[in-house]
Amino acid sequence: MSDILRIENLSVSYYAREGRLDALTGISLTLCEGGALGIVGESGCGKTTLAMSIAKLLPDNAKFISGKVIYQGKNILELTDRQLEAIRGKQIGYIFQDATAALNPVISIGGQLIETIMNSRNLSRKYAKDEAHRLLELVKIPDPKEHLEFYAHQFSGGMNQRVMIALALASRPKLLIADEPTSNLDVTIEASILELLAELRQKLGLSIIFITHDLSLVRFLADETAVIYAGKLIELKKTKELFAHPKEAYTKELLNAGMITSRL
Amino acid sequence: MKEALLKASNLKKYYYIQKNFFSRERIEIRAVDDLDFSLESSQTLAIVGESGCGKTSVAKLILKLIPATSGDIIFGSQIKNLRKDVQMVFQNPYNSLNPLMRIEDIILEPLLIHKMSSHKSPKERVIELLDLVDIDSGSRFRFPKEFSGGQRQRISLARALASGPKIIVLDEPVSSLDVRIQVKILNLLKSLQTKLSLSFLFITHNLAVVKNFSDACLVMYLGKIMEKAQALDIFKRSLHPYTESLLLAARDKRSKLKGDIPRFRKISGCIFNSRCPYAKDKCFSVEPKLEEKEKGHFSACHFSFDLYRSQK
Amino acid sequence: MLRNKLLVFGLLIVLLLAVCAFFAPYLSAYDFSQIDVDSILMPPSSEHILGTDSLGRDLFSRMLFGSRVSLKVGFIAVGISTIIGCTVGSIAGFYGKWIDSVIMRFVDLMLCFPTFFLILSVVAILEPSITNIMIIIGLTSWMGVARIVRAQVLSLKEREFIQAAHVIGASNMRIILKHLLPNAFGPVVVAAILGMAYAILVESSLSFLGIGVQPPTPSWGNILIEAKSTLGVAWWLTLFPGLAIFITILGYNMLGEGLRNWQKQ
Repeated sequence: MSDILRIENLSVSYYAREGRLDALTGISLTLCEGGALGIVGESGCGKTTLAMSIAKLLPDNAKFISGKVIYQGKNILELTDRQLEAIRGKQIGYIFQDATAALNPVISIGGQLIETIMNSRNLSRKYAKDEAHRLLELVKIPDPKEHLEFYAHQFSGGMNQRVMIALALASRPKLLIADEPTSNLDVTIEASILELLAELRQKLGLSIIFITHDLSLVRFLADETAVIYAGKLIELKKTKELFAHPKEAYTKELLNAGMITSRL
Repeated sequence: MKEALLKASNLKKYYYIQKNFFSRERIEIRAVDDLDFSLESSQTLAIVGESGCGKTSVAKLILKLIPATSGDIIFGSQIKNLRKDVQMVFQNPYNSLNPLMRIEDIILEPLLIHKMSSHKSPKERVIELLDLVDIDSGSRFRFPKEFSGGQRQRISLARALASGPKIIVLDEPVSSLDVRIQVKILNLLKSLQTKLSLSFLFITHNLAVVKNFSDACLVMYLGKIMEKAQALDIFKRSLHPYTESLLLAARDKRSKLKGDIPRFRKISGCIFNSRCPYAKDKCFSVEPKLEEKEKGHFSACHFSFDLYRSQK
Repeated sequence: MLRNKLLVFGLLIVLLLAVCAFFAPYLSAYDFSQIDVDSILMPPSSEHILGTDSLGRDLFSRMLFGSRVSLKVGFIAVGISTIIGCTVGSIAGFYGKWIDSVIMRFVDLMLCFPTFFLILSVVAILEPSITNIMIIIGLTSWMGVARIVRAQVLSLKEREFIQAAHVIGASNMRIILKHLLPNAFGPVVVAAILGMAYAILVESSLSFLGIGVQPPTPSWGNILIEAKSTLGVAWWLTLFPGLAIFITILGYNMLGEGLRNWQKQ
């Protein structure tokens, strides 16, 4: 099983008026094909910077101080914008926290899906429409035919998240990066989205990076989990091992706190 | 029988919104639909539910921030002045403090409004309150933006404690915070409850917090009570499919529910019928009443006992 | 902040004007009402930087004192309109429902009025004086502020710290004065600055029409009255006051817009 993504010694800093902020320091991670990696950390720990770094999608005031992000053998940080276009949103898909805000409010979701499909896979409009239908079925949206005509604001948060997953899958990516995809959702909807992700991973052979502040989520989705604090990698282990035998004090603290807030 | 500190009877709050820009038709939204509950002194009552279930409306009704459509909220005789004896901590720590006021002034305000006189000066009382919530009193001249989310919630708590309340309504006070901070604040609340004989109305969507932190529990869905009991009893054996789904989702991240939360649709029968994995014919025609199925354990389901085995 | 050119230039112009107005007595070489029959209608020279008018009065000195008039009218008119606007807007926004409807219909009514003609009529009926025009401008330009304040109050009302203020028992007055208005300040300040530009323009216009500031008190507007008849001979009498009015209004507008942009980021 080869590695689909390898992050080597990545360091990223932000430069602002107040000075320099070291968002990530020396992060090294590996994700093998078809694997699921959970990245856990509290707010401000740098996990979103990490997610954005994988796509080289950082704002202007961010600088890659050192390290490599190797996707299928190529260092993303060294690619040109043109070369990145073939990867971003096509081979690597993204889903974010606020689905309703990420979708275009004036185009129907069917329209957005069709546009994405045609853009990335060179299909005719008719085939793209069938494919869009198929994708909505894949993410378990009921009555897909009718819902193709719907707009983002007509859906609930949970449904929009499914639409976002469908959009991310439209280009048949190999790697899916999910940055806090369920933080805004109710508990029961969150559970159904997680189930969906696990199912899709099996069905489509996807590799997934799942970023969250909620330890209890990674337990069910990730084979391996990385704990990040203040931009540094604190611990990286097989998820079961991490929960059973945490080594670092911070990990133990997180686990204990997580127990109190999620133990039933 | 000790007098309840707070008792809500047949509480209803209906909103009416225009269907769309052009029509005159108005849709009735039953945010709170016939609620009965009571809160005793030194007790924590948790109201659990997902978004849209009406729990925040309940908080606003109790604090008379919005008028009820019908029903009563009756306070016990210990509650003499609503604005003093009942207080609230809000959900969003980044919006609950006036950004232009210093922390000291924020906490002074209730003291000044109620002309609280004691052997201490108001400013000394502010320092006392900050110590109580574990905020460095030296920082009281700073503005809210210099504090983290967890710290701001503690400051909101200090403000709520300033008037010496008997009831504090906590509207998802820790939901937006990191877990470690959540635990700190929950522990703080627990110790304050003992120290000051406080009662809490704890609104949350997190069942685990309910289990570890409350005495009684009310599960709401789309404005109605699905289940009502002592917290321990609910976790020992829940008698409603919705509660079961909340437990399952929280514990195993699994969901047996179908579809989405229905909004703006008139539902006949049980309000949960569109998503319930166990729904039968009766559930679509007859609305189940909230009835006492076991001692002190209420549920609004036709089939409470037929569908469940003991859960741990 | 320095990147915001509008803000910087606007501020410079406004400050320059303030300096001129404040230090007028020290900056002017002559008494602005000193008549010098020997120096009638002299073009700009080393003796009279901006030239003289038909009575030999130094134009520069008159303009310096004219700036005082402009600023005085501006401040008081804007002060009046801001106070009225804040009161009306906050009451409408805070109480809502029928109070809001009634007030906003009244605001709409006032906005439909051709206020300039209203000002003209009033000033024509009463005697023209600085005090009258300050008040009348203030009384007819509060509507914009009212709308802005109402909009701010409506959006602030839903924020939790306002609800918290209700919960701790603050009176409505206290909530409006201590919590709502201070947080609504940003756009109000912008409106006030833009209001200055408007007030100065109206004052200049009225003075030019002869029903504003009366001579011998100099106002840029009333200097232009004379300039009209001497246009062919004394270009400086038209150019400099006109330029002053233009730059002043431009300056305030730039400052207002610059502030608005700065607030938005």
